[in-house]
Amino acid sequence: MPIFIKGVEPLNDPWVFVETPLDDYREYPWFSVVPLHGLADKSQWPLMQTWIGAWFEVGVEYPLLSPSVLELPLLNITVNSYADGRVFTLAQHLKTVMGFRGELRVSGNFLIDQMALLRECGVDSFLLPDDADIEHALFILKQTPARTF
Amino acid sequence: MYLYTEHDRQDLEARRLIFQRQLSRHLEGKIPDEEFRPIRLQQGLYLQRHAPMLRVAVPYGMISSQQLRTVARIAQEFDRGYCHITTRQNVQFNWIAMPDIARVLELFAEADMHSIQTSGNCIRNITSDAFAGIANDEVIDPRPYCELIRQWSLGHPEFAYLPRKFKIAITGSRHDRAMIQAHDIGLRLQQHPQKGVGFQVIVGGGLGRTPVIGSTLAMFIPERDILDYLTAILRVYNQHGRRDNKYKARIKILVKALGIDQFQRQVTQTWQQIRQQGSRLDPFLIKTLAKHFSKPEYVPTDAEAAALNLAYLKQRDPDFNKWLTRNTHAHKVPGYRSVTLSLKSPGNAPGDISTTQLTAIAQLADRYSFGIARTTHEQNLVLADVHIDDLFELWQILDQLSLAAPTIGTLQDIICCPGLDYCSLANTASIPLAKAIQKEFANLDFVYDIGALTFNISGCMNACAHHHLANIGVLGVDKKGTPFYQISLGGQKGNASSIGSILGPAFAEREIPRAVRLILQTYLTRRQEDETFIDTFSRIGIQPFKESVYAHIH
Repeated sequence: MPIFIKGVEPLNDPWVFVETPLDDYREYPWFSVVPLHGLADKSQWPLMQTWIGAWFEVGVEYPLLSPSVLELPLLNITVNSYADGRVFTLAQHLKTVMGFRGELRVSGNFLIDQMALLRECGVDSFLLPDDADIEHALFILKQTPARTF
Repeated sequence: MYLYTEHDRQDLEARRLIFQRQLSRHLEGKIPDEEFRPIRLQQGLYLQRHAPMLRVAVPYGMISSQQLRTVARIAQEFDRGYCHITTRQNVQFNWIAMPDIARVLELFAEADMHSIQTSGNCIRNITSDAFAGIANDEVIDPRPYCELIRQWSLGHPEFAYLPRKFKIAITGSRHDRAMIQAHDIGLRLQQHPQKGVGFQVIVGGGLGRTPVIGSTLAMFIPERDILDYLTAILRVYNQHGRRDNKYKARIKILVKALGIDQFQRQVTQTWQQIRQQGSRLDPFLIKTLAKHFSKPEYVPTDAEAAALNLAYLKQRDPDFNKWLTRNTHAHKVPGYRSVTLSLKSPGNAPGDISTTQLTAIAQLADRYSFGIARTTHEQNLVLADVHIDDLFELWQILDQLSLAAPTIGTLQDIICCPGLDYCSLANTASIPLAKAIQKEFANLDFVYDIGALTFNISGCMNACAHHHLANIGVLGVDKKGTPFYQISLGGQKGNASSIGSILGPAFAEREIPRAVRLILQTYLTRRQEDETFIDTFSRIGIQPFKESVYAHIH
């Protein structure tokens, strides 16, 4: 079971991560984080917006992050490589330029030691592997100083 | 110079403790090598041939006497009694044992120093003109802006994992001494009659495997917008820079691939997005930072009398005259000169400096130059504010310390990377070659006859010694396990920055001194009147040099 951290505390995650899209949106459980590319049928949007989140990879094309997507309560960026620093700019862009106001989450192959940087870029919550060192994660989140600028 | 606030110290201390924990966890096996690599690199910690190499930041080259004493102490207690001044104005240690790193960083922190962002794929130490604030041709003192950008870039969350390293240099003078055209971003301060202070922004310069002279991205960005504009450049780079091939990952490759016009459009669009958030700089902040760089209390001087005295001393002592001519420089303030302390004494590895020298320089800085010294990208040190009445006495002391080689800006003033002696990236040795060149051309009359010349040696394609921009550049290459050296001619730094042309096939190490002699003889034969080496090269091109060298070697 992945470890979920929001703010600076481990919490129970109300959301369910769905790897592959389902044919019928009604089959998604409540509070599902579904693949962005599985949300193509916009006729379903009004019904889904309150209980569906979307996940996408760091290399997502910005035009796919449409106004409807930005209305979702949760967006989850999945990271394939901790060396791929695009995630920081993407998070910043979502929060400060595109105006996303929901919960921004990161999962995948990022380093615990990057969590404070991600938080400063607008990330609200993290999904960590079940064997992750929570104590170290919380230390990083609590002790990293905020920047002046 | 900038003095840390309590907030700066708290911030640094928090970061130091985090790294200390990360280091401990790594040594306990809790962070694997691969994951620890970007973390240690961002703390300036390399794994080199013999021991970890620690690079400590000297922000835009400014270092206090107290900090010099700390550097000396670390060199004495934890290294082998010396350290190295790098071509980006930092200090490097080659022999500190891994278990001592935490303690060393603690000692540096006590002197308001750190190693953060001296390596890794992030914004590196900001470099500048070693004569900032005192040069006659200065339009605006760049140091407050260097400090601004230092603070902005330190721990920047968005740009800590860029596609590749990122270097920024700033000049405030008419003549560029900070190599702004060879940096990822080069900034030139300008005073606009209507718009006030702003920056010409140059982007996509760099040396290494693919040397490129930067292109102008913007002619004038107002000072209040500079951080937003830098953010826009870095944001475009972070999103679109290549990550699939580290040799193609620098911003220069992105700028080349997109073309400067398209790159500019993307930066402008991103800048507009950022501006909508209303994050322009508060002018008060710049004024506050400028106060840290206010003029020291210069002693009013009867410049005429002092000059007469100096003239007398020059006449009386020809060695002093040689040093005064080459190693001291004009100053904004009458009665003062800046002094370059040569780290290129014959037999000395260029840029290396001993504990004894460091401690003495700290004392000299206190006595003669308001307690501050500067590092230069030419791997020397500068005492910026020396009263001319003190020059003779200072020279005598420097001479005893082997810091007064009267060869600044000449063939003897070789810029040289650590090469195979230390660096795990190097293909060939470079320090022994530098020593061989110094020995071959030990006759100062000949060196002075050659005049102004830059001579740089890099031990590999990474070009840490900036050989592409040297009048005579040497690059070490490995050919099936045998070191060879490629010579390039005609490079230059400054306003007319250009990349040297390769002379031809590479040489064996023992052939290099002779090849250089042939090049210099060609110059002496072909020069007209007061032409410098680069003037003659620019006029006659590479062919006469090529013919002369390869007629005798190969």
